[in-house]
Amino acid sequence: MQITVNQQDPIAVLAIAGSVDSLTAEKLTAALSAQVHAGQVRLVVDFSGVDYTSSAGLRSLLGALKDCRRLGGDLRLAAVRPAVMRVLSLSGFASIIKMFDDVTAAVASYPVGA
Amino acid sequence: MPKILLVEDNELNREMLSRRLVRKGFEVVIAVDGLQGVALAGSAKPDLILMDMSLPGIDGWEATRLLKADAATRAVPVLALTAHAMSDDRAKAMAAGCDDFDTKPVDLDRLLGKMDALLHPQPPVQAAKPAQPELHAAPPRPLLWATELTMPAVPQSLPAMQAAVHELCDRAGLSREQRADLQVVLDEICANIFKHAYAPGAPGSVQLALRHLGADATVPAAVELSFTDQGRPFNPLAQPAPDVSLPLEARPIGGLGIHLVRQLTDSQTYSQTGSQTSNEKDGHSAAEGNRLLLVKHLK
Repeated sequence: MQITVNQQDPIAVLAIAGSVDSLTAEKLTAALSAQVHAGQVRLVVDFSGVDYTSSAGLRSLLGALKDCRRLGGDLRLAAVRPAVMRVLSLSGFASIIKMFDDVTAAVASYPVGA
Repeated sequence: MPKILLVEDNELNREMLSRRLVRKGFEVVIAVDGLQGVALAGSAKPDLILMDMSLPGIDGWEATRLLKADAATRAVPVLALTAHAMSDDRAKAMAAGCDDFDTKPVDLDRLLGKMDALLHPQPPVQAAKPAQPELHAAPPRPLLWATELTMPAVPQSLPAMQAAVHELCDRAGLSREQRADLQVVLDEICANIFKHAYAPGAPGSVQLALRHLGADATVPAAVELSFTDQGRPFNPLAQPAPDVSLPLEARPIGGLGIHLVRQLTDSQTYSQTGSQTSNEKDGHSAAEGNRLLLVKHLK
């Protein structure tokens, strides 16, 4: 799994490529946590390159989502593939995390100057 | 460039031998214990394994037995390395399934010769066969596919297991979504076994058996995944599935994996296997091992 961070102040876009499973989720958790600890709590996670995620990946997203919202920010998903969307829906994540068709829409969803 | 998996726990020996092999043009992958060696043999797909036999955790003999019991790694030649020059060590290594044997300290020229023989085996000389009339045999009847592999119960084993599930999916012609479902199921069950069946720092093994099901020998109607371990019993169904309608702050973190498994498979049976043992000192009895059987219908 590869993670690329692109700062679009005040938003950080993390592009994930590969599979988020119990072998790789720790890396995702660390990358998200690093952003939060750096004070970056408006996150967009680009899932266009993720072919599947297990509950380990969902837990990683959930932890970061809670931290971001507690600090006044949010974590938003972009470009989720159908197979991954199925897992998100079955786990109830589709109702608690905001999702957008692409990164541009996800970035634009944050209020300007917030 | 042949890829060599060097399984060696001694850092000095490991560094020295790997450096010398790299200088000779080999690509070298390192494992520092037997469990990691078995896992990397599945995921790194080496052309040859140099196996130190005195390893922490599972030793080289046990690691070799695991490698030779697994269809995915059986064909990879294993060259045993041991500090003991006793003849019964050679017999023991060969009995475990090693393809050759060498002693430490390493004589590089001798070792390279043995490696070359394993990497480039000479085909057996065959006597010329008399010409046979060509037979028009009936095409072989397609069979439903099945396989199994035994891996250390550690996350590093997942890539090899995922590769086996991919093959199951390819052969059954599964859709991308069905394939993703099974990947999640594999990951969730393995995560549970890794976490609950074995004590931290003392992982055992897990056997994954995969097969197509159906009356038609050409088109599977379902696929079955079964997981067997020899660890302490645990019940993945004991934790209730989370209420996914709860708001974010009230959502429990546990139980999500097994909830997904329930949703993504059509049936699930769970049983404990192994012999019942009784401990007369404390009066408790315990079953050892777990077996989990999952079926996903493809219609």
